This record gives sequence, C-alpha cells and structure tokens, in this order.
Amino acid sequence: MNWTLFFLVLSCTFGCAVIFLVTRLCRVQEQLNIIENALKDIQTGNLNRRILTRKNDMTKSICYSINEIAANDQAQLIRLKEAEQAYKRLMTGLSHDVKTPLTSLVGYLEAIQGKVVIGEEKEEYIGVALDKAHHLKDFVEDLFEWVKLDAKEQKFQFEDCDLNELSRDILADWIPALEDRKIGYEISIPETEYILRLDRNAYTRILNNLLQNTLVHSEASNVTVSILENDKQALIIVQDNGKGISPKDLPHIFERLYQCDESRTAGGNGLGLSIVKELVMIHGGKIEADRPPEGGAKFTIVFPKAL
Amino acid sequence: MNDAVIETKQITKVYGEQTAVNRVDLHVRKGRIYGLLGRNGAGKTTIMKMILGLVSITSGEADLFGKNVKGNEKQIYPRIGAIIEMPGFYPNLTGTENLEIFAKLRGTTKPRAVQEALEVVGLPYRDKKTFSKYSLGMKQRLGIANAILHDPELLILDEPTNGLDPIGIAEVRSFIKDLSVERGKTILISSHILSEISLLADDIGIINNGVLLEENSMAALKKKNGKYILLQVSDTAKASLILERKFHTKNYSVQDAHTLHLFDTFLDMAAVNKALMLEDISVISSQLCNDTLEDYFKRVTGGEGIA
Amino acid sequence: MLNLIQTEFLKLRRKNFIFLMLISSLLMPLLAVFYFGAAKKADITPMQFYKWSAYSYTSWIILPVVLGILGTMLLYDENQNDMLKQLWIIPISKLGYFLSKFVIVFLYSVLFMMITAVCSILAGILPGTIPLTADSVSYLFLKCFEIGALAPFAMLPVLAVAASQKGYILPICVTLVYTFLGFILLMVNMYVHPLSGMTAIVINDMPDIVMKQPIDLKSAFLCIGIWSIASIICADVTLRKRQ
Repeated sequence: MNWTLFFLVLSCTFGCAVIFLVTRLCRVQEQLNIIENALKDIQTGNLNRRILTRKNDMTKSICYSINEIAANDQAQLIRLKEAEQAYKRLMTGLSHDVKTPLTSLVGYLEAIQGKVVIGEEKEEYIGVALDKAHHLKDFVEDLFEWVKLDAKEQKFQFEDCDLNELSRDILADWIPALEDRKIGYEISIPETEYILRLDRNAYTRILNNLLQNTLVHSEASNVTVSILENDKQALIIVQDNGKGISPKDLPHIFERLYQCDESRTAGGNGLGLSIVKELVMIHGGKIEADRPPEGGAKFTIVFPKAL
Repeated sequence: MNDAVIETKQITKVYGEQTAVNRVDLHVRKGRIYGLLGRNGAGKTTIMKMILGLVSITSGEADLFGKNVKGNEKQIYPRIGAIIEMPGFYPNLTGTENLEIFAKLRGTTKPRAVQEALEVVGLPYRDKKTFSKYSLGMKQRLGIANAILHDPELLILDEPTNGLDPIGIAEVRSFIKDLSVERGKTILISSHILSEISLLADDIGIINNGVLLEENSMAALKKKNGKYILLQVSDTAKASLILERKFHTKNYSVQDAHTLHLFDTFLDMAAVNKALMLEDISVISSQLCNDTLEDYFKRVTGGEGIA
Repeated sequence: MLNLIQTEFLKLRRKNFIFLMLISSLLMPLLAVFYFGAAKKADITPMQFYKWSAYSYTSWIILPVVLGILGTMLLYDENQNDMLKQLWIIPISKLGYFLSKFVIVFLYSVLFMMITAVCSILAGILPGTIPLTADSVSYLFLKCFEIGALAPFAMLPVLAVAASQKGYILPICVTLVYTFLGFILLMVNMYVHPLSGMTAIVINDMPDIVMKQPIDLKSAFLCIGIWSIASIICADVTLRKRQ
C-alpha cells in the first residue's frame, strides 16, 4: 500500500516535471518564431517593430538586444528625416521670402523701363526698387550667415574682452538710430570691468539683431538694455514696452524663418533671432524670450563666466 | 507601397435596430497621427473597439498591419497599445503593481519598462498609493503608461485627455506628438474637441452619427483655410506693383508665377479686379478665402458643428 | 499558463476578505470542541470527532459557499473595473483566463481543507477529547485533501455562471441554491449533483455511514466530470460571446 502510494507520488512529480519542461520548450519555440518574424519585419525596414519578452524567458537577453538595436536605428533614422524636413521647410520658406520681394522689384523696374512713370514718380520708383533690392541683399546675407552657422562652418575667434565696454561701444552706435525714430532708451551697464571669452563680431551681431528686432517689430517707444553680473554669469536684458510677443508665437520665435505675422510683410526676415540663438549657444549661453507682466517683450541672454 | 497600418473596409455595426457605425473606411497611415473627430456618441469608441476586435463587426473588414485581427491576435495585439474608454485597473494594487501585472502577461521590450513608462507619464514608481485612491487624471495617466508599456508600433487612444486638467492635457498632447515625431509611432486618437485634434493630427477623419463624413490630411485642410484673397493673374510683377502703389499694401505674398495671396481681406475685390484689368493684367480668378477650420467642420457635419 | 496563474496571485494582494474567509474553516472544529465537550462521553474515537469537525458540514456547505464567493469575487472584480477588454488585447485566451481562476480556487480550497485538518487535530487533542494516532491523522489529511481537491471541480458550474455575469448577485444566489441543492439531493440521488457526488466519493470508505443508495465511485466521478467539462465549455463560449 505504502509502496504504491510512493510510486504514485513519484510518477506524479515526474509527470509534472516533464510537463513543465515541455511547456518551457514550447515557449522557447514560440519565442524563436516571434523573433524570426520580427527580424524579417525589421529587415524590410520596419524599425518600429519590437519583440516582447517576459522576465523568465530564456530568450530574454537576445530580445532586449534586438529591441535596443532597432530602437537606436530608429532614433537615428528619425533624426535624419527631421533634418531633411527642416531643410525642406527652409527651402519652402525661402522661395517664399525671396519670391515676393523679387516679384515686386521686377514690377517696379518694368514700370520704369516701360516709361509708365516719369519724372519725380520715376525717382520714387527707383528709390523703392533700391530699398527692395537692399532688403533682399540683407536677407540673402543673413541667410548665408545662418546656413554657415547651422553647418558649423563659421570659425570664431574667442578672446578675453570686457563685456561692459564692448556692449557700451555697440550701443553707442545705436543711439542715433533710436533718436531718429524717437524711441526712448535706458542703458544700465556696470562701470567695472567684466572679462568674458567672446567672439567680438558674434557678440556685436547678437546685440545688433536684438535691437534691430525691437526696432522693426515691437512698435515700442522705449527700450531698456541692462547688464547684470555676478561671479558666475552675466545677464544681458533687452526689454521694450511695445506690443510684446503673443503666447502663441513665443515658443517659436527662435525657429528659423518663423514670423509672427503670417503675411510676412514686416521688415524682418525671420532669421535674425535664430541667428542670435545660434550665436549665443556657441558662446555656451542661453537666450530666453518672455512676456513680462508690465507689457512689451523681454529677451534675456545668460553667458556663463567660465568658458 | 501600401503603408496603411489600419485599414477598414466598409465596417458596420448594428446594435439591434440601431446602426452605430455605418460603412466606415478608415485609413491610418504609418508614422502619422490620425485624429478621429466626432461628438460623444458619434461612434468613435465603437469603431476603435471593432478595429481591436473587442466588438464583433456586423459587416465589413478591419485590417491591422495588413492582416485580419481574427485569428492573428497573437501576432497583432503585442504590436498595439490601446486605451478604450476609461481604463480600468485593479483597485487593490498600486500603479506600479498594476503595470507589473501587465508587463508580466504581455512581456516587455526592455528590463526597466515599468519604471520608464511611469516616468514618461509622470507617475511615481513604487508608490504606496493604491489605484482606488487615484484621481481621475492619475488614472488616465496610468492608462497611457499601460498603453506604451511595451513600446508598441500602433497606439489606439480613445479620448486620452478625458478627465485631465488643462496642464495635463497640454502635457499629454505634447507627449503624444513626441511619440509620433521622435519615435515614429502610428497613432489613432479620438476626440470630440476640434482644437485638440487640429493641434495634434496629421490626418483627420470626421465622424457623425456613425458615418465617416470626410477623411483628409491636416496639411490639405490648413491650406484650404486662412483669410486671404486668392488672385490668379497673368503677371504677378505688375499686379504686385499695382497693389503697392494703388492700394498701399505690402500685405501679400507671391505663391508662383500666376498666384498671389492678398491678406488684406477688407480690400474691395471689385476695385482690385478693376484696377488690375485697367493695367492690362488679365485676372484669371479672384476669390475670397475666408474659411476657418471651425467653419469647415460645421459645414461638413451639417451645420451643428463639433464641440 | 504558469504566467497567468502567477499574475492571479499578484492580483490578490491587499484582498483581506479572501484571507478572512479562511477563518470560517475554524468554525466546525470549534463547534466540535463544544459539542463533544458538552456530551462528556469518554470513548470518542478520532474518527467520530473528525467526521464532525472536517467531513460533514464543512465539506457539504461551508466550503462550497466559500468557494462560490471566492470565484465570484475573482471574476467580478475584473468585470466591475472594466478590465477584461484590456486583458483580451494582450492577448489572453478566454479559456486560459477561466482556468487560471479555477486554479486559484483549487489551491485555495486545498489550503482551506488543510487548515481545517490542522485545526481539527488541535481542537481534538488540546482539550484531550481524543488521542493523537498516526492512523487517524494520516487518514484525516488524505480525506481533507480529497475534499479540497474535489470541491473546486464540483463548484465549476458556479464559476461558469460568475464568468458569464457582470454582476455578483446572481452568482452568489446560485452558489447558495446550488450548495443547498447538493445537500438535499444527497438523500435523494447522489449522482445528479456534483456536490453530492463528491460526498459519495469522500465517504466511500468511511465506516458507520449509511446512505440510501449504494456508493458507486464510477457514476460519482462521471457526474463531476460531465458537469465540469460542460461548465468549462459554457464559460469559454460565454466569455467569447460577451463583447
């Protein structure tokens, strides 16, 4: 009696073990099938395909590795595609931004050549046409600069210079233009020396573009430029009291060719601020735009002291 | 190449006397966000359930990854993540424990899947709070975490922002956008809020009373919509000159050799036409495009509009 | 399958009611203490004591009711929280789902009877009512295991009803009716109802028990087998249909 019971129990355990092993084997077989299918899919270009595996699967680590490879490839592919798309967008925007002023320039020139206008009006037409040509030239120059920046081709000469003095020099050149347009200005720059490693030309470009932007777009009557410094970083703040930037546009203003005004008529070309951003980033700094509660627009550049 | 991830052919669902979904042809393309827009009760959830095989299809066919779901569950389901209606979980377990159950059943693509999925939706890992004590927003987040737990190729999200606060909605929206842009996922999302769909979707399907009224790409719709006067003229250069001189506007853009968009919609179109004609410019067509997306949806749905 | 069962265990976390139900296994052994204590008879055999404390009402009524409630809870929870659709798209087979619930019920049932056995021994020996003999103890454990292993099969019809229903009221009512019907049919025809069939199997080698019908193991097993298979098929079909 006891022996039969013993054998019964023994065979039961044995049976259980066999069933367990067979199920494990089946599971591995199943997993291998899944892996094969997924690999075929990945091979034909579906880098989104993943293989699911459980913690107790024998094929676990293989699956994890395949997934990782696919995910990394996918990420790379997407980055490439994104760059391509950005390029396409740039080209579309570009053709647009060149085409409109060029067409109207042709219109003016044709009118002059066809003797539709004479005398004083002709002079005026020539003036407008020249303006447009200049504008186009500026745009193309900006564009080249930006492309160079974007392709990281431009060489910079970083040297130790006094941020405060350099800023004062740049701003001094702006005072006539501001007074011309009857825009009030406040400049507060510390008298002390503050040495930063900067590329003089790039920094000049940054300030110029920011002020240009304010002048053309903001409709402000007052501009404040202030520099705050401590031993870690320098803050350069350009603030105006104009119409400000709408919350809808705020996240995009540093994107290339983004223009708040859909019709793209205002004097700018949508490159100025993206150039600023690129340049600031090359200096290891940050730039932020926001809407201060008192109105207007505020641009803050942060340069770290140690470069 | 057929890159449709979801394709339905004339799917119809009849509940008793009532036809909930009527001959719907849906095409969700790879790597894109498809927004299914319709009022509550329009049949969005039923369509999604039919696609997933959770509800039997009265007539028609629904293919996922080019295969019929019935009979291919084991191959298809692991590639899909879904939230249908309010996602349910075990109330006696914490969020982490809930996800661990799903991870165990379904398998994962990487060792730390649960933790990463929770991080993505902003829920704490190994928290003590049980699901029954979760707020509506947290529940919804856990649902999303579960849907992305196995890094699926296709996400089917039924009103994923239901029950979230405005900040949460914005977060989820940008996160869904990222999934599509940065990780190449295909997403089918339903909503009754036009603005949500228009911000997210690449393609859009409008459903009303169980009928798919329109299926189109968002880019095509956006092109159609906008406020401007479309002018097709023989000579854009001359036309632009007239616009600048006679109507004192620079608010236009040249699209191609014969097309102009004039953004000052308050201008008298008849006067513009006349002035152009007088200058020997033939006007092929001029029309006022004054359609917003809202107007468009109102028209498509037959006047009532969508939330 | 093993995976499914493991997750079923995970789902039980913080479900105190299920463990509280185990306490009901103490009921009959405690009653036995009082009953035999009051009787003050000197010559109580272990068999008589265990018959009272483990083989009778525990297996006829308490265990089936507890298992019915447990099964209903297991199935109702996922229904109530609208989880099934999330499980189906994993995917999980409907049959596997149902069987994994059954495995939980099975293990619970065996555990329940083992506790009953241990408590019976303690309740008999501690007050000194019966002596501790190896024979009686091994027999008790064998019988308890038999009851624990057979009862879940006999309760499969209730589990199938619970799987086909969204609510919990009907399955609970069915549990009660089913259990008492099994108890009543014991005296009429033992081979119609799985629960009475189970009793027949359990008592087939017990001394001093007189039933109206002769005990026939084959028809008892047949009865349980038919009912079980029919229930599993029913559950699978209804789970597939209910969408």
